Amino acid sequence: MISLKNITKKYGDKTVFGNFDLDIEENAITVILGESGSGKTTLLNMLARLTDFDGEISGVDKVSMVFQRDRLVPHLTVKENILLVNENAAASALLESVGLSGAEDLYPKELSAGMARRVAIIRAFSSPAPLLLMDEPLVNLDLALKFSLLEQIKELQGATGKTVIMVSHDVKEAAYYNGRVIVIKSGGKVVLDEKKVSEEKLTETLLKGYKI
Amino acid sequence: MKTRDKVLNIALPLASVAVIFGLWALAARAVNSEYVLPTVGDTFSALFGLFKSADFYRAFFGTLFRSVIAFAISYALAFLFALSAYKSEKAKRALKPIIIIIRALPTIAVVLLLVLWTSSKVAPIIVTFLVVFPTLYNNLYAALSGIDKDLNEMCKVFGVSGKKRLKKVVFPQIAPEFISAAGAGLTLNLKLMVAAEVLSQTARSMGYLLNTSKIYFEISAMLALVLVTVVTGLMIEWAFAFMAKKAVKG
Repeated sequence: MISLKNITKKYGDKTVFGNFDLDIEENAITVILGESGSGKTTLLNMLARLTDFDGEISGVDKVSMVFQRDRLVPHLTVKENILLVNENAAASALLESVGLSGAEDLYPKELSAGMARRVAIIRAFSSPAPLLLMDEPLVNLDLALKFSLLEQIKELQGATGKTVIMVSHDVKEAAYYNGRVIVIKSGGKVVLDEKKVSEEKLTETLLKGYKI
Repeated sequence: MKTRDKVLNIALPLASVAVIFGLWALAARAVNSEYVLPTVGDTFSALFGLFKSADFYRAFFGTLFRSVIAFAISYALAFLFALSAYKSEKAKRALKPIIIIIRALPTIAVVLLLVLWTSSKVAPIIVTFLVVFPTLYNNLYAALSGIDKDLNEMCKVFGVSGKKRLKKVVFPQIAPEFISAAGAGLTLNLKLMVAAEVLSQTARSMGYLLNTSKIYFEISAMLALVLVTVVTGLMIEWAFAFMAKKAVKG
């Protein structure tokens, strides 16, 4: 179990998380849903130790990550990008699993946005780290590609048994996982924490308090 | 690269050089005095004459040696300064006035003072350092500032070792700029070295040969020495540009 206890994170005077507690189940996908500025990326950055905070996080050793921007090394080929994080990764087989066989020797600039995103996802899954953080991995992709990648992420998670924490602001995406969804609002307030929650309920929860 | 581009890459520089030599030939014919502007043929005769002289090789390699020494000192210090400035904002602010002062120094006046304070062999080395160092510092600092911080963060998250990060991620990003800065710096270094040697009267140097030729009014020999300096500088730049290109391709 990954536990966040009494987490406080401030940016200047703004409190992003105040005495925040959360437990995350291992070997499953957990989606953190929230509007822009609700602290979703900050939460991942704290788990990845990329930012300072007060409080305690336990159960986290090594992590891998899919960033909002792919962050592929431009002068390394697709295969080299994967081997950079794990020299023993079966790069070709992993690429084949997401329909990228034959792309091993391409450079990131030769990839489409969807291909680059898949490489970033494969790189994260090929890392030996048991915890995988995904920061809006499907943002700016067309709907068909988005749902195809969602399926591939589910399959890869099932095959590797990794703990996946994915942040998103897309209710369709969150509902599609059919797993645990945590909705957070500004200030690090958990307003919903349920499994198999419908798209309608997620929309209603996110819109609560807003005047339309 | 297309065959047409390859041909143009060779043909265009050759055409430029041919135009320069053509203009030179026309000007020499118009002036019609070997003491003002010798012909291209006379200059090449003087050049081949230099190639037969042991004094020329002693002077050429003496100048080249001093250039390399001055360049090595400039590059090493510029790298250390640039790295410190890149790592620490305080260091950057502390180094800024030093760089500005060095850049503002009047070169000719400094050569004359340095000849008095040091020796005719050391003065040109210090002078070329003072001119080349600030330029190298700026170029190397710019290269270091261009390192992608997002990629560094990615490596940190994935636990990529420092050695691997340097070799696979950081070095290929900075190598092209570092190599081309070295090429441009070394060429500038050579030109300044010859100028400083003329003023310092450095024995066994290209500057000394230029000065002697001037005293005896051997204009063709002076132009031949200028040609040697230009061609050496071009060869250095081309070699470094080639290495920079290789570094990009990995």
